[in-house]
Amino acid sequence: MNAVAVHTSRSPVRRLLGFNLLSAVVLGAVGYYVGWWLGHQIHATSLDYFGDTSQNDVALFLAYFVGTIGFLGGLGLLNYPLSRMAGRPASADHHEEDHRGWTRYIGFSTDHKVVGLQYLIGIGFFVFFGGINAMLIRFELLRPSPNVFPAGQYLTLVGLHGTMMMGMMTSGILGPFGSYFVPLMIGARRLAFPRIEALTFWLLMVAGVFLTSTVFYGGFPTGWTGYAPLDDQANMGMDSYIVFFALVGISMTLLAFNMLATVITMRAPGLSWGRLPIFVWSVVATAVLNVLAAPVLVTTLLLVLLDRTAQTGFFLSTQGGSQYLYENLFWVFGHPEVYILALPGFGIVLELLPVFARKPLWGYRLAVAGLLGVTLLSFTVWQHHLFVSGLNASLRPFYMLSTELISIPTGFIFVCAMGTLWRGKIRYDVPMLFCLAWVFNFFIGGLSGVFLSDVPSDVTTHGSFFSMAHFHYTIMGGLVFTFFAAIYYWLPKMTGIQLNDVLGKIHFWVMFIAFNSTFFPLFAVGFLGQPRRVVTYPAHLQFLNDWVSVSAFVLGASMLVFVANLVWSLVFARIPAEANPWEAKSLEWQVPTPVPSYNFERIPVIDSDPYPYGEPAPQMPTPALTPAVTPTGR
Amino acid sequence: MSEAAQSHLPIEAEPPELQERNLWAGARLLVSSTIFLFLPFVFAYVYLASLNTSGLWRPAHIRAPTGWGVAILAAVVVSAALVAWARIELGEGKIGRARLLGVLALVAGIAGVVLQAIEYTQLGFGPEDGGFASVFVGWTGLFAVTLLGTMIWLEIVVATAYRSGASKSDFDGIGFYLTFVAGLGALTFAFLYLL
Amino acid sequence: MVATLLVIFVLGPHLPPGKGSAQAAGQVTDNTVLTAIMTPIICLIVVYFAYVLIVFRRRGDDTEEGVAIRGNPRVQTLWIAGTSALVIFLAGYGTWALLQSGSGGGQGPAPIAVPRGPKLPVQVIAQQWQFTYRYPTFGGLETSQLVLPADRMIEFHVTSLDAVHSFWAYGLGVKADANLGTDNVVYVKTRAPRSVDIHCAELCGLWHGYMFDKGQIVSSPAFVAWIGQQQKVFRSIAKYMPPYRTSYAPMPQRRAG
Ligand code: HEA
Ligand code: HEA
Ligand code: CUA
Ligand SMILES: [Cu+2]
Repeated sequence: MNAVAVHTSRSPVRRLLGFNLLSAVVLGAVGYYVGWWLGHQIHATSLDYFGDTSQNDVALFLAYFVGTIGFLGGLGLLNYPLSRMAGRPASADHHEEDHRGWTRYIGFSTDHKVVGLQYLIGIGFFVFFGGINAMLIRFELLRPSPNVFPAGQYLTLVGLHGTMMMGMMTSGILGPFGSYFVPLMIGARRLAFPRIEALTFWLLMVAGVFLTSTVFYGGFPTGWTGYAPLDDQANMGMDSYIVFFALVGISMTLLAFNMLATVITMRAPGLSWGRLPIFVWSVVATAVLNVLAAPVLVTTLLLVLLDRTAQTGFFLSTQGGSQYLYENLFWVFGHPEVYILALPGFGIVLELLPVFARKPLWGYRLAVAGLLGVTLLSFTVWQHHLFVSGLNASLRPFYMLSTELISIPTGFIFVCAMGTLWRGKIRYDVPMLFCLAWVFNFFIGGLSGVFLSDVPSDVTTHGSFFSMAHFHYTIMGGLVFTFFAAIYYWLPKMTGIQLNDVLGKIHFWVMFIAFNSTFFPLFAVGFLGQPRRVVTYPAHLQFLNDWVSVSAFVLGASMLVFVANLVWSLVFARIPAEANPWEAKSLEWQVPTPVPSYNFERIPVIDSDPYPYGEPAPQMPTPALTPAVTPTGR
Repeated sequence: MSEAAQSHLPIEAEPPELQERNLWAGARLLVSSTIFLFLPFVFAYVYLASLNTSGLWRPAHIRAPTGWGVAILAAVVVSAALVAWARIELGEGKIGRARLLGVLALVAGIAGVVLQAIEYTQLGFGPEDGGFASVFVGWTGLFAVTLLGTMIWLEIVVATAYRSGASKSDFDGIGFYLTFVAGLGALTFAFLYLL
Repeated sequence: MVATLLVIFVLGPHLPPGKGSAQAAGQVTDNTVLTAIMTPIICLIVVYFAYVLIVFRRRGDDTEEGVAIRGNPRVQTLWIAGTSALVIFLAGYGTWALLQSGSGGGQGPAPIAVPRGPKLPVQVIAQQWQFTYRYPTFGGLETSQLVLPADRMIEFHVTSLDAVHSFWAYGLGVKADANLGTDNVVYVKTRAPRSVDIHCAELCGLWHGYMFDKGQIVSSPAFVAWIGQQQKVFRSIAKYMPPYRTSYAPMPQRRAG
């Protein structure tokens, strides 16, 4: 750990040596080639089967694997485990004074605030990349017959877009905001396992690069769902998908594992479960889903990997396996996955509404019940993705019921939002606007989900653009809008700099209108019979598709407004933010900006829930005034 | 902790029991994740056996070599038992005994991994021989990897015990997890060698 | 209220997938019912938000805070009861509609909703990247075109020779995944003669987007004539055809070489 702290006095060239991103990239590349070479050795001796093709999946998997190890080693993530294996004592290694200045943001850091910002930038980058893919998809769909991308490239584009978005956005809230704010909100100095936190971030970045590299191996034809046996036919580009999702699964599991351990053991004294901020509750619920569902994904992909390399036949009905096994396993993970995307959004909305309505959260217990209800139910509904697959016809009524039951706990979130606004003093700041947009968008998305959950209706809509519109309403309209709410709300705390309000409002309105104008017509497109993932569509649907594409370009442009806002505010204007610009009463706003590396000088004692708005009682005691207490977490 | 002291800030040190509680919670969370990591194999076993597609679930000549299975399971169980014993010794303050038992447990666990590797060369069938063969190879493989990971953890605990002093909570964490892994090994054995 | 009626009577008939078959018509009704039920909920929520967002907005730079209400058991109970009732109704109705005849969805090899009376079996064979059709009651004739008689109960058997496909006959309200080694059964009662758009609705590889087709529903005499003519055309190769089965052993599945 000391290797990183002594850099300051060195010459620039010397500074490049050591454990940093540069070494990581170099070692990663070396590892990649070593793995590749190794794979070809094995190939040469035992897998004659592949004979004269250039397809060597074993080599690619090994290249990815050894490359990952090399990368992590170069960053310095292996130093601690190795030193522990050599018998050195454990160290918590947090609030270490980090002398690296800004370079700590591009290296291995155990400060949860640094990792939070790293996550935000890293995920933002890849999501932006996914957004560009989306623009290319929409560009292609301007015409009913292929115009720029041939069929194979189009499928790769769709797969890349869907997989990248899903993989990155699953950690889209927990990564940046969970890492940064959960310790602050529960009065802790750090996360339970700071090094694991850093590991999850870097694994995700490696995964993103690997997925992108699929374009060098011919892409993959399966979309984000990777159905068998198509995934077994596919050429080497498929391996990138497999490795990406497996790394994402590992990263998600560990991230959530860390969040749960932190919330369980490190709450400040007085912070009982009944006083936990609702955002933290949503992180807990999401983390439970992560910890249980993501391992299923990892194993499933391991089985695909074995099918592709070791010639097992898990998903090949010609070999005693079954493609239904894949569909079941994928959706056992896949359905909880969609709530992993939704729940943190619920948390953000319910966390922010009280601040901007100047009222306590209405129906706290109901909201928690809603979050936990969704968590529980989401393991019981997966076959609603398989309503026409010919699987278990007799179970359809059950899956129809269980799926529709999820509307009830989700409804709790809505009624809590509604109650919180009642008789408030609503302030229309930018984060609030994004939260209100969530209500609108997610409502439409949720109701369209009820159509899908109804088997007779799903017969038409399954595999059509209706289902695609449904999940963009829930994910883009739900999660991504709250993601931006969170950015506008918390970024001033994270950077100490104010974002431009006017640009923020322009961003919001353009995005909101363009979003609806993009995805609402797609319900109609689906109803009218356009299947998903096709590069050609019936000519009479061209008008609707063009409308959608143009709206999508405006939507993309609104993202540029956002990026412009970031650049302008953070690089040029640099107006310092107030310590508590929204006059919020929750704990994370009571610490100074920038947040000191140890977060709290004294661990605070909590004596109320975080929403004492409109109450005569004195505000939260400021942390510095409270007596020194050790955190007992009870 | 030491860093905090160096930085001369008036902040209090972290209570040492915090790391213990983290370890406690972490070991339990890890167990729940591991259960779900292996769930697909149980599902695949039951599902593919019930489908028996193309009559290829388990062609007649495919028998898992029970002898090897017993040996692997025994190695894992012995390893877990030795760690449990080490925890008892540690509770009585006999650090030397506990460390030695830890080393033996490590040897036993690694022997399990090695036995598994050897078994693959003695199977008499290959991964391509139908549903059961696939499940067998996948399940035992992932189990061996899990076991290897557990052994790395155990190695850390033992090495720390030798060089930096044995800690009860370290042994408790690995003991809890290793006992679980042994249970998992028994489940694996039951499905793949007995059923 | 008004909106609901409007939905039922104005929008309803235009909801997909049209009334090309009894099952499709059933789906239209189903979609109408769903939309009709949701309309009042949507109206309620929209009105509530419009009211709240206007009435309870902050005026000027007012720093006053809202009223500290933390819940209301009556409202909460009412909400839970209301949404639960709705969900139970929706699930009940959906199940009822499903059990009529399977609603045009693929029911797998063991259908739970089997309509009574005689049926015309037609096999749909999907492969990368086209559909072909076999008529087992006409000597296992295999054609590249789907032609069905009007006003008949059809029993589709959908299967695949390779990847997963999905047989989507839009105008008939039929969708069923095609899986290797699996017989996916769908019942559909055709109505008047018309043409039917057919798409593949499950990603099946490179030319998935090109896997579409047009089927015809024709009058019974026209169907008989067509079948006779097809049998003549394919007579010469009939003896090379594999016998009709509900699924077919595939060619090697693995990536070539
Ligand atoms: C954030 C992600 C997210 C969320 C939250 C949801 C939420 C829901 N989804 Fe969705 N879904 C996806 C993402 C999501 N989905 C994705 C990505 C796919 C496609 C995957 C693929 O194939 O690629 C998909 C596909 C999908 C299908 C399969 C479609 C098909 O392929 O045939 C179904 C079918 O049942 C479904 C249903 C639902 C339901 C019932 C909900 C419910 O949770 C919604 C509940 C919310 C409400 C109902 C609104 C608020 C409630 C009230 C105001 C209470 C009163 C209302 C009533 C009582 C009705 N979804
Ligand atoms: C997180 C999930 C997510 C998100 C946000 C989106 C966003 C968008 N999606 Fe996508 N989409 C999927 C998940 C998502 N999608 C999935 C899972 C599929 C299915 C794939 C499959 O079939 O297998 C799919 C498929 C899909 C299709 C169907 C292709 C087909 O079936 O043929 C289309 C077509 O229009 C489309 C369009 C769009 C558009 C226009 C957007 C726009 O909203 C995009 C707008 C731009 C952005 C959202 C980028 C903005 C981000 C930033 C600016 C980050 C900046 C932040 C910082 C710097 C901190 N998507
Ligand atoms: Cu066949 Cu898609
Ligand atoms: Cu789902």
